[in-house]
Amino acid sequence: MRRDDLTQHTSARPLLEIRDLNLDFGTPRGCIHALRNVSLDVPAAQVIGIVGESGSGKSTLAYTVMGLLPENADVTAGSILFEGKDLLKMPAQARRSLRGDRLSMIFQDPMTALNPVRTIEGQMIDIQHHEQGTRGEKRARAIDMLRRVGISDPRNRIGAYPHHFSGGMRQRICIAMALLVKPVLLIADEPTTALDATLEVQIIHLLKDLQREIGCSVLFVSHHLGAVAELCDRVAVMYAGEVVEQGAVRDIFHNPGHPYTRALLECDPGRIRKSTRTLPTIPGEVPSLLGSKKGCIFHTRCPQAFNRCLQENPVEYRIGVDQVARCHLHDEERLVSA
Amino acid sequence: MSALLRVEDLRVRFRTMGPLKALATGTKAPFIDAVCGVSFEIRKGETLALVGESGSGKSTIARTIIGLQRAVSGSISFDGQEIEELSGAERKPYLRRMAMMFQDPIGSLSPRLTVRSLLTEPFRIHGLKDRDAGAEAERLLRMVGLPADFARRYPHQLSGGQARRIGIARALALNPDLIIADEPTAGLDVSVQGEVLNLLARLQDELGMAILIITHNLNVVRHMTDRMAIMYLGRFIEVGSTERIFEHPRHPYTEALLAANPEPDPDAVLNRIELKGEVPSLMRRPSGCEFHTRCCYAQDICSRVFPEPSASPDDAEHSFRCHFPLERERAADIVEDR
Repeated sequence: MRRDDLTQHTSARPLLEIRDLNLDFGTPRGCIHALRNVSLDVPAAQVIGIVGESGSGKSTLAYTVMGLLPENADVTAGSILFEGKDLLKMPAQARRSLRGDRLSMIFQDPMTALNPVRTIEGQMIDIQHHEQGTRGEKRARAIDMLRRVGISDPRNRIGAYPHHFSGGMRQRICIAMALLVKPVLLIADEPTTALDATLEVQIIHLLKDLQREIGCSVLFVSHHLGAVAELCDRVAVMYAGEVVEQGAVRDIFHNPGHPYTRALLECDPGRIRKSTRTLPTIPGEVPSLLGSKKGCIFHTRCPQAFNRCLQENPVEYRIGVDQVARCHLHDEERLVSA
Repeated sequence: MSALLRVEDLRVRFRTMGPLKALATGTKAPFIDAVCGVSFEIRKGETLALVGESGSGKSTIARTIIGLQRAVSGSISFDGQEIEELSGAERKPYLRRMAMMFQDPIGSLSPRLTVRSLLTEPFRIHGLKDRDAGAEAERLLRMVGLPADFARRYPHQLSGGQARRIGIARALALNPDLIIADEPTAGLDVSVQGEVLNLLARLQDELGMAILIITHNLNVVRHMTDRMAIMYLGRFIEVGSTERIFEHPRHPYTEALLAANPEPDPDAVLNRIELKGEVPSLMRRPSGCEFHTRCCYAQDICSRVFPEPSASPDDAEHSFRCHFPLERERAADIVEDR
């Protein structure tokens, strides 16, 4: 029910609008086109999942929004509108003041995301540098937040160093830090990948509860389909630097429109009920992103590829109310039905 | 079928402090028991899985079997011969018949050796210099489905899935009777994960070796293994045939682990048992049943009395350590589909 209420808001202007984003990495071997024509909306107070395999550009997209790209990255086209302002045209200083205030991030590896030589207390007070208030007030807020993410005895444990905590606890602390500044957009880059399965469930539930409580939007990057299905309202599927399909979570999982999404869902061993010796795979390999590409990026591995797929890069075809897929098959369908 | 590997009452201990500090602080037991009286056997051609969260001792068992770690007590016999007491040189002929695939696919390959020398290293170590290295490397590459020109590559030129295949090829080099695969799919994408598991299954069908799989991912286990053992704090808490345990887990921890894998379906019924807290520290083992601190069915007796293993009334091979084993079968939809 709750989900349906939320989708009503989509008529209003989204919090984050990514339009035709293109990004290259300069390497000695030439330009790697890491993101191509990526368009994505993050409406207010929703959780948007980005799924894809390694090298599909999902983390690069998250880092681009956050403005944490390495020096050899070059945004060649497109815009990222955050609350109506283009992040890419903003002066560095203005962009910096957004980070840790309106925007915050949870990183993949909780073991390395915290400073090992400083106490949790110092790090949690530092992160509130945009906020008003005395050190004591900030400390009180930090303790309160630690309690909310489920750290017992936070009053004493706030003085501990990161190595005193286990991996799951550290990820909780990272979440507490990211939410301490009350961001409007939280970017979570594979926050559960480094954790055990039972902890993964706990962290997903914690994120969901806190998101509802604070009312922020979350951009949740993951390669784990199960986690995305459970947490997200909308999903974007990425393959080799392109968003090949996006839509509401139910549509994507129940009625995938792109052959890649279908293949990815079939591969998930959690979906296979019958005992089998051979698991489904996606034959072939992800194409190299060096140099220019002609046609659909998935055509080399697509079981349904035809002539047009080799020649022409598909645009986003609308399927259903709220679902788009970059696949020529949907153009054919439209012709038939017309 | 006779047992290929028999492990009896294995106990592995790690020191937590030096003898002086133990004396000074009055610590009676300056060590932790990472593996605590574990017994199991693997028959020829069989696949057994050790499942558990990080720190449950599953990798320690593997390291002890191949002699990278010494046991404090217990016996390991391979093909009828006790090997735990043997010295390094005496052990060598037995080690030749066991092979290990290490957890980190790229990290376990020396960065300065080519794939060809990596693949033929086992022959050099075991004094089989008369073999034609080039031909052997080519044979092994073909076996794992990689082109012959990979022999000239270095590990950094391999993707995660390719490095995994090289790891498998290396393990197969001496035609072992037993392969120990430590997290064979960790860090791989779902599509590649399927490829690696299919390859292992195919090679097992062709060559007939036994496999010991160590993993925390139950989905991997389900399609690959004949039997499984679930570990918690260095002990087996449930052992039985994979099919049986998936249908009817008796230990609450097993049930929680099975439920911890989020379904790639947004409408999946969430009758999930979420585990509270984290794995307790090995230095402070809980009294009684070691799982009682996280168990949602725990009663008085659980915190006082250590449960002895008991067998399932209808299946003698299925045993578990629990005062109140679960009576009901798992969620009906899964059983029906099988």
